[in-house]
Amino acid sequence: MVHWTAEEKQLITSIWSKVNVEECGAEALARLLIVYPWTQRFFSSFGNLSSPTAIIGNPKVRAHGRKVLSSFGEAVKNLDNIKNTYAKLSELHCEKLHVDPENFRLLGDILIIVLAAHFARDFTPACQFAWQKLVSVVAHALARKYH
Amino acid sequence: MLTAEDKKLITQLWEKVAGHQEEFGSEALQRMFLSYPQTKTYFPHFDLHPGSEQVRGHGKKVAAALGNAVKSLDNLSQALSELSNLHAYNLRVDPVNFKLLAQCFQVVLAAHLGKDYSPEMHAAFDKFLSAVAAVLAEKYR
Repeated sequence: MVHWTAEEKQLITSIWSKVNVEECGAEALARLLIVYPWTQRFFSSFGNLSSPTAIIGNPKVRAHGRKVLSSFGEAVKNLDNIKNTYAKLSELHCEKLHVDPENFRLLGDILIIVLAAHFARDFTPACQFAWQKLVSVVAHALARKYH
Repeated sequence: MLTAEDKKLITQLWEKVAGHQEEFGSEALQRMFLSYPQTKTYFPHFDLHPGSEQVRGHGKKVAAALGNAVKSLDNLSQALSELSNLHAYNLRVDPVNFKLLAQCFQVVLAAHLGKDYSPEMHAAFDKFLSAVAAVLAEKYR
């Protein structure tokens, strides 16, 4: 089980409470598709992904980004039980979606850059530490049921 | 690998970094040491406490090297040749760590530039840092 100090939990929840899930989620997913274009392989049904502008404005990207980040919220609410929280999603990503877990790490790192852009100085090194740990734990949990 | 558009964006981005090289470089290192403690193993001879003069100095050095690379986007291999030798034969930093520093440098840029760190700049700069890392590891074996 992951051990979180009280400070780490506080840093995570205090940032999360100010996150606009729709905006940040959309931005994180858009950046993933822009910065690492090969990740578009999972989204052939999303329509126009032909340029950064197209990706940023794409309503399916926005909606899916929001969905993904909302799900992240479950981890924040269940920091002491992330493994089980993501058990079903892990199976889904393996068996139905066939997503290489490396993509979870890529998205996690991008999310942190998005948070840094939004929170600026408030996204202190200590905050980043707690969040890097969180995204790593989430990525791990999502990969856990792969077979 | 780096398109003409990438090079333009990287150059534009670096104009915003100029004047903040020491600050950004040392903040990136500080963040890296905190988020990825294993990176401290390469600096047993440093004082790594916040505000350390050694970290500031080293951050300035790293940022200056990146700045040189930005000026030589058409020939990174040549521009970074000395550093490439240094990393291969002396420092022997495992290349996985270049990604960690790259992440932290981008976090610093995002924190300081906010919206100005656009997705397009982010993409170009990420490519640039990957290219630099590849050159640094070129002579490893």
